[in-house]
Formats: sequence, structure tokens, C-alpha cells
Amino acid sequence: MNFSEVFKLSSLLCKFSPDGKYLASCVQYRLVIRDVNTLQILQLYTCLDQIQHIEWSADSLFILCAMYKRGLVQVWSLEQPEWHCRIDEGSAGLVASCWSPDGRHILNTTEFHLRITVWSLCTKSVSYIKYPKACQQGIAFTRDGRYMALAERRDCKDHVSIFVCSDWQLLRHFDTETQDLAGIEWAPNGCVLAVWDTCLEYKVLLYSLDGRLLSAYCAYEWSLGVKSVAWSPSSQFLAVGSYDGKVRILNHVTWKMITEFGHPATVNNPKTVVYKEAEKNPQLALGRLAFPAPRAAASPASNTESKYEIASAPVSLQTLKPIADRANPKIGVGALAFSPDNYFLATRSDSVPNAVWIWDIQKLRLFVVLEQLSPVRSFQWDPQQPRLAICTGGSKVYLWSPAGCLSVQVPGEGDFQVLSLCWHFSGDSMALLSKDHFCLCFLETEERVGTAFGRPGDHT
Amino acid sequence: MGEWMTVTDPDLSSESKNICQYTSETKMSPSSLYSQQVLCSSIPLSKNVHSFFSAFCTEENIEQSISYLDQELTTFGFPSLYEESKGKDTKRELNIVAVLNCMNELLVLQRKNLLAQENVETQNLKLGSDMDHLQNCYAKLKEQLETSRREMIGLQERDRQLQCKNRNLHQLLKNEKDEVQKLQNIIASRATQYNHDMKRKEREYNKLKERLHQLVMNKKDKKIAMEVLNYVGRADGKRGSWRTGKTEARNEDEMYKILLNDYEYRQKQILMENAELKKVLQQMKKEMISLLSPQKQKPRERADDSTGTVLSDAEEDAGELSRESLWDLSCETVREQLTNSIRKQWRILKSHVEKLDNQVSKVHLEGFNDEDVISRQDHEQETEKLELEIQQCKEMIKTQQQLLQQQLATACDDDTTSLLRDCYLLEEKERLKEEWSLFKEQKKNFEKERRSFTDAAIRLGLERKAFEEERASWLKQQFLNMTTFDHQNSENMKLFSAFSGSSDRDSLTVHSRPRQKKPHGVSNGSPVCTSKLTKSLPASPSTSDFCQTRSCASEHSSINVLNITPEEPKPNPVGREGTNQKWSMASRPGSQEGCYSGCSSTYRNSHVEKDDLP
Repeated sequence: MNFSEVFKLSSLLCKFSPDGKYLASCVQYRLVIRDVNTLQILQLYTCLDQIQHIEWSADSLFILCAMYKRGLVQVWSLEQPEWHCRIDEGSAGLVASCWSPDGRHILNTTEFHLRITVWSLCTKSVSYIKYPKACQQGIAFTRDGRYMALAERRDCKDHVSIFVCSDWQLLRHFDTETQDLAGIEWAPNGCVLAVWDTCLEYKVLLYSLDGRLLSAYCAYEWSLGVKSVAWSPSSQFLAVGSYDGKVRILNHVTWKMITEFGHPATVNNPKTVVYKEAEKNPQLALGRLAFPAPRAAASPASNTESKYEIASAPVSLQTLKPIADRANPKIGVGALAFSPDNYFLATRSDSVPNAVWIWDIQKLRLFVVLEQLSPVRSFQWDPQQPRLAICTGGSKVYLWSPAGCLSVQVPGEGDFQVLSLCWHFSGDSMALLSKDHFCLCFLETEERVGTAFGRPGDHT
Repeated sequence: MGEWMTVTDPDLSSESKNICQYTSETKMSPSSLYSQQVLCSSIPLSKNVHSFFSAFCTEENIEQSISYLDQELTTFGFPSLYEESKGKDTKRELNIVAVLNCMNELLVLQRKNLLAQENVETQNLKLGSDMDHLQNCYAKLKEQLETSRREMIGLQERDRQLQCKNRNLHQLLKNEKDEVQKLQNIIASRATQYNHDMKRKEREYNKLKERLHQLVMNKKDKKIAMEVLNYVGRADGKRGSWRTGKTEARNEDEMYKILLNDYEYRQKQILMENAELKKVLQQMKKEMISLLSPQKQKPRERADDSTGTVLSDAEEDAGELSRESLWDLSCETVREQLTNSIRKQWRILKSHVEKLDNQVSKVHLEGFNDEDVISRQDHEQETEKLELEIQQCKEMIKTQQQLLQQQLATACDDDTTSLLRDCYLLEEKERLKEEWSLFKEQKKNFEKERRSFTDAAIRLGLERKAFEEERASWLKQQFLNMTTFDHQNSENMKLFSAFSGSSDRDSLTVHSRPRQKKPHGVSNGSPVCTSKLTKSLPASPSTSDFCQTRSCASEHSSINVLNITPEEPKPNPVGREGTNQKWSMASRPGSQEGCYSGCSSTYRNSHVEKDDLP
């Protein structure tokens, strides 16, 4: 495993282009486009203000930079550097901006969710969509980019509108049986839309593309409900993580629950492998117990190397006691992700913040638990193979695959606190983001790393 | 009970009194007294009776008494005491026979009465005791009754209390229920109110939004705009189409197409899965049939009719199915047949397996028995053989062990040392190396020193030799000088001088001892001493110097010799050589004062030593 040099970055804005050729990163009001292989700067665009959001168009030709404070969106073209486009939402304000799947339309959500403006780069036409709902996940595009589902709120009732993306025609419009819709998500095959209610009520509704209600699922009542939802890449399973600390897997035939995965604080099954991260103590020889000791004690987690140890059967994990009288209690399954081959499901229970649970979907049982030394910030599957990258906000990045797991110290002077990470779609490299720096981590191909290192550094 | 008794007793006594009174009143006779007395005194004493009787009849009232008795007796039904009177006026005469009869009868009666009385008394006693017992019983029962009554009262009280409590609880429950109902109502009303409020708020919010929308959007906000250098082409290269009914229909069509595709895909998958499962089922069935067919003959032979028929049925079914399964059928009848046949065969298989299990267990049991029977006969022979073999094996093992131990004993030293050597860590090895080199160096140094020492020693020896030679020459000179003074000893001295060059210390010591033992004799007469010494001189030529000193001492002064003597008993720490030297030194000044200059220092030293050692 090799690392590139460290580049500057602001507000964690760093994204690979969908075709995997480019890497966009932001430094204050500048947008830097690099070649992924050589890391050379290809383009450098200067925006009008500090960039708050960037997004590649699906064909990797354009990139939009949103400056919410100013209500501005600037679009840049890679092919024609002199081409520019500026969208000003004016006094309506701007809270969200995204591409439509065709890469020729930009959807801007105005302040107070008054409307969504659809700007076209091809024609002068501007469309407006009224009544968008302010919620967690209100817009969802199908994988093939053909349809868009939008959560709406009209007359104190939740609705879902399905638009055809090619001409923004309303295809279906139906009200949902939800108290306060919290999110929508298309199945990867684009035929089923999962709709879930606010956390006050456990309710998952499944709608067909044509607006029929396929099924409604409710696991329990009178308690906090759904916290996270994830489709398996095959659209075969819908994993629903809830505040009771369980993940329920629904099948796509009957839309009933197949199994539920609890996240108890003790792992008793001896078949489950529990990897515990442990600090690698520098071996204290008799003569060597000297000055660096106090400094090492001051910052133990960040600098010392760590390794994984396999803990034997009954393992109790570190749990967090939630504060009961605060909103958004730290309980329940807050994050879940299926591996690209559908074989594994990675989850994180917020009450056991240091652990990542990996479930075997073929056998429907707990496969591996990774317990880190510090709370897990995020994890992401390699897009090509069952390989999970985890970061905890420390200077290490962790990788798990069915063969085992390892912890890698990010090299470089000073602390590189990995707050977030994103994979290149080939799975050969990933970007590690810290508060104001990022670097690339190359996993396999050696020659590529060589070129990356051979080049003179180009700090921006 | 006691109270009750006390109440009844007086009644009884009063009754008896009444009776007494009544009788006394009716009779009005002297006997009434008696009867009264009899009645009152429960047990009449014989004395009293006697006195009473004596008092009853006196001389004066015989007649009256008799008549009285007669009257009494007649009233009691006895014959009259008197003879039957012939006339009224005539005095009736006492009929003694009648009297005696009467008396006898009375006595008999008396006895009877006494008996009866006794009986009655015993009965009375019995009854009394019975009465007591009963009274006790009664008392006990009464007590029991009392306690139980009290218990009952207590229980009743408790019951009442519990009922009271129950009622209270019921009341409370009712209250709580009411409360809950009320709260629920409140909650519901609150909820509805909240919802209502929410809706109202939301409506207001929507209104505001609408208003804002109008204000913001309809103001022809110049700012809301898009600046584009030039419009780009669509990703698919086509031009945008107008929105018409046609496009709508087309969109619908596409949507349904997508859905259809999805469903078709799923159906295909399900069909495939089904086919696979069917295949598995078919295979299972076939295997079952093949498994069951070879041994179906046996059960038939063993006249297991029921299974046989079932098997044949199964066979038929299987045949049919295999024929039918040529079509990939999924209709219900076929499915039913298939599942039924499978179920049947499964049942058969199960029973068969169970049977097999039973057989196996039986066979096991039988087998054990058979083995036992057979082995008994050859058992002893076999055991003997085995024992012999064991013995042999043991011996073998022993010899092998011995050999091994021997080998080990020789080998183990090397092994252990090598092991130990291996045990050392690299560091230790290095340290040892260092130490080794240091040691070597030290050794070298030591050797150097030793060499220098030996050199020094050699040099010393040479010097000494030179010195001795010098001394010898000096002595020679001295001697020669002496000969000039004393001609008597000249010959002897000459002999001495001839031997003076070679000095044998051992012989010197040997000869010095006798000389030392006789210091007093020396003081008396030196000629004797010298003569003695001279005798031994040829054997010890090395003592020439000594002899010489002796001689000079004898010559010059005996004091010198006396001064020397105290030194002799002292054990010399320096060694023999030292003593000899001192001797020689000490003697020299005595012998020759002229050479003071050359040896003064040594002389002094020796002198100081002498002083220290008294």
C-alpha cells in the first residue's frame, strides 16, 4: 500500500469523476482538477466564493460548484476550459444543488424548500417543481437515470411525484401513508421505491414504479423507528436499521422480513471473528525507557501504530450510554452498506460506536466484528470487491476483507486525521480526506504509484 | 362452669331440706328426729344409733314403745307384735315370736338396705367421677368453643377488613381507570389539537411560502438568471422534444415496459429456481427408488406384506411420474402426485432405516454372544501366547531403553553444551567476546609484566652474583689481610678462601645451627669453638664468611658475638637468605671496623631490627 503526497483541501470537498479519470478537489474558492494517475493538475477554476458543494456530471464532462451562501452555482467544463455557466438563484436562496442524471440539467432547491428549479444547459428552458418536502432524502434518481422520485408535501399530506428525467414530465403522483415522510430510495433496478416515515414511527412503504403500494412494513409501534435504509445492489434485499439497534432484512418477493440482526454489546458466538484494534506498544528495552515516554503518553492514539488482535469467543464491546433527554439519541443502527457483490452487509450501531459489524448475507449471520480504538467515522465498500475501508478520525485507515484486516498508518509529517474516505471506482485507490488535506492511497498497482511519486509535488 | 355449679348446689340442699321438713311435719313422731338425723348425717354412726335406741326405750315407756313399734311395724306391713286380742279392753300381749320374726326380718331388711346403700354409694361415686369427667370434658369443650368462637370472630373481622380494603382498592382502581381515561382523553384531545395546530401552522407556513414565492419569484428578479457562454448539446445528441400527449403516452409505455421487464426477469429467475428444485427432487426420488429397490425383495421374502405392497405402489407411481416428468409439468395434479410419492417413499425409507437400526442392534447383541462362546475355548491358549509376547516385548523395551540411556549419557553432554551455547543470546555472545578480548589483553599485559619480572629477577641474580663475587674477592682480601695478623689460622683460612667462591646455602644453614646453639660456649672460649668449626669446614666450604667472622669475633672481642646471639631464636620473616645476609652483615663490622664505610647502612638496619626484637 502506497500513499501519495498530501494536498490541500477545504471542507472535505474531494471527488473522483464518474469515469475515474479525474479527481476534483476544492481549496477555498478554487477548484482543482487532477489526473487520477499522475495527480498532475489539469485544470484550475476559480469560483466567486468559497465552494460549499461540488458534483460531477454523470458523463464527467461538467462539474458544478455550489456556493449556498451566495445562492450561486457555477458550472465548469473539462473539455472547454473557457466555457462557463453561472446560475444565480437571487433572493430565493439556495440550499441544495444537484445534477440530473443526464448531466445537462441542474436541480436547485431554494431556501425554505419553496421550489426546485431545473436549469437546462441545453436550452433556455427553466422548469419549476413546487412543494418539495424538506426532509432527509427527498430526491432520488433511479440507477439508469430515467426517473426521479421527489417527496412532496401538499395540504399537510406527504406525496411522491415520479418524473421522467428526459423531459421532466410528471409520470405519477400519489400520496403516501406516512405521518411525516423522512426519506425515499429507489431500488437499484429502478422498479421499487422504498419510502420510510419519520423516526417517531416505524413504517417502511414500498411502491412500484407505477405508484402501486406493494407492501407496508412495520416492525413495532410506540417507539423510535427507522434510522437508516439500504438496498442490496441486486435489489433483492432491503436492509432497515432502526433505533432498537436491529437491522431487519426484507426480501423482494413477499416484502416480509427474512431475518433481523441484533447488535448486542457482547458477541458470544465462537464462530464470529472479533478483530480488536490494539496499540502496538514500542518494545521497552531496559536502556530505552527514556524521554519520549511523556510525549507518547500525551498523544497515544494518533501516533502509535496499531494492529488487530483476534479476541476469543465472549467479547464485550464498548458501549455508549445514550443521553435520554436529548434529541437524536446515539442509539440504533446509523449506517449500513451492502458490499458490491451482495455477500456482506456492514453496519454500525451508534450505541457501540467503535465497532463495525459485518454480516454474511448468504448465511444470514454475523460474520465479523471489528472493534476500533476510537469511534468509527465512516466506512465504504470497495466498488469492485468485498473490501471495506474504515476511518475513525485518527491517522490510520483500516481495511477489511474476508481474508483478514489491517490497519495502516498514513505517512507524512504531522497528524493526518482521516475524517472521510472515498474509493476510486476501480478499487485501486482511494482518497483519504482530513480537515484541510487529502491524499491518495494506492492499494495494488505498483507502477501507478511510482509515477505518482516520481512527479514533483504540486501543492495548490 | 364454676359459677353454674355454685348456683345449682344451694338449690339441691334446699330441696333436701324441704323434704326433711315435710317428713318431720307429717310424722310428728320421735322417729322423725331419728329420720331427720339419719337424713342429715349421711353416715349414721353405730354408737349414735345405739344411744338413740337406748334413749328410745326406758323402763317407764316399755308399753308405749312396744305399741309404738307395733304401730310402726304394722304400718310397714309387718304382723302385729301383739297377739290377737280377744277383747277390746283387754290388754294385748306381746307376741315374742312375732317380735323375733319382725326383728329378724328387720335385720334382713337392714342388711339388704346396707348392701343397697353400698351399691348406691359406689354407683354414686362412679357417677360422681363420671360427672367430674364429663364436667372436665364440658369445660374443655367450652374452652374450645370459646377459642374457636374467638377465632371465628377474628376471622370475621379480618374478612371484613379485607373486604373493606378490596372495596377501597376497587374504588381506587375505578378512580385510576377514570384518571387513565381522562388522561387518554386529554392526550387524544391534545394530539388532535396538536395535529390541528400543526396543520394550521403548516397551512400558514404554506401560505407564507406561497406568498414568499409570489414575492420572490414574480418580482421579475433580475438576479434569478443563468449565464451560459453557449448552450451545450444533449448527452444523447438529440434535440429536446415538445411535451405532448404523445410523449406522455410514450413515457407510460416505457414505464410499463420497464416494469414488465422486471417482472419477466423475476419470473424467469423463479422458473429457473423452480426447475432446479424440481431437478433436485427428481434426483432425490430416483436415488430413493434405487436405494429401496434392491432390498425390497428381502422384505418380501421375509413376508412383510404391508411394506411390499407400498413399495410396489411406489414403484408404479415412480414409473408414472418418470413418464410424466418428461413434460416439464408444473400443474397441480402432477405436483401433488410428485409430493405424495416422495412422501410415501420417504416414509418407507424412514421405516426401513428404523428397521435396519433395530437389526443392527440385534446383530450387535448376537454377535457379542457368539464371540463369547467361541473365545472361551481358545481363550487360555491365546492369553498365554499373548503374555509370552508381552514378556518378550518388555524385555526388548528394557534393553532398548538401556541402550538408549547409554547413548544418551554419552551424547547428552554434547547436547547440553550445545544447547547451552545456543541459549546464549547474541548480545551475551558479544559481551562475552568483548570480555574475552579484554581478558586476552590483560593476559598479554600480565605476560609482559611477568617477562619484565623475570628479567628483573635475572638481572637481580646477576647482580647478586656479581655482588657475591665482589664480596668473595673482598673477603679474600680481608683474609689475606688477616693472615698478616694471625699466622696460626693461616692454613685454615687459605682452605676457606679456596671454597669461598661457591656458596651452598643449605649446607650453610645446616652448619649454622650447631653454631647458633652454642653461643655461650663461644663466649667462654673461642679456640674451642673455632676448632670445632674448622673440623666441619671441609664439608661446608660456603660458610667461609661465617667462620671467618667467628674467628674475627673470637679474636677481637667476645661482646660482639654476644650481641649477635639474641637474634638467633627469632624466626626470620625475610627468609633464610635474609638471615644469612644479616648474619654476614652483622658480623662484618664486628670483624672489621675498617670497612664500615661500605656496609654501614645494612648494618644499621640489622641493628635496628635487633632492637625491635627483644
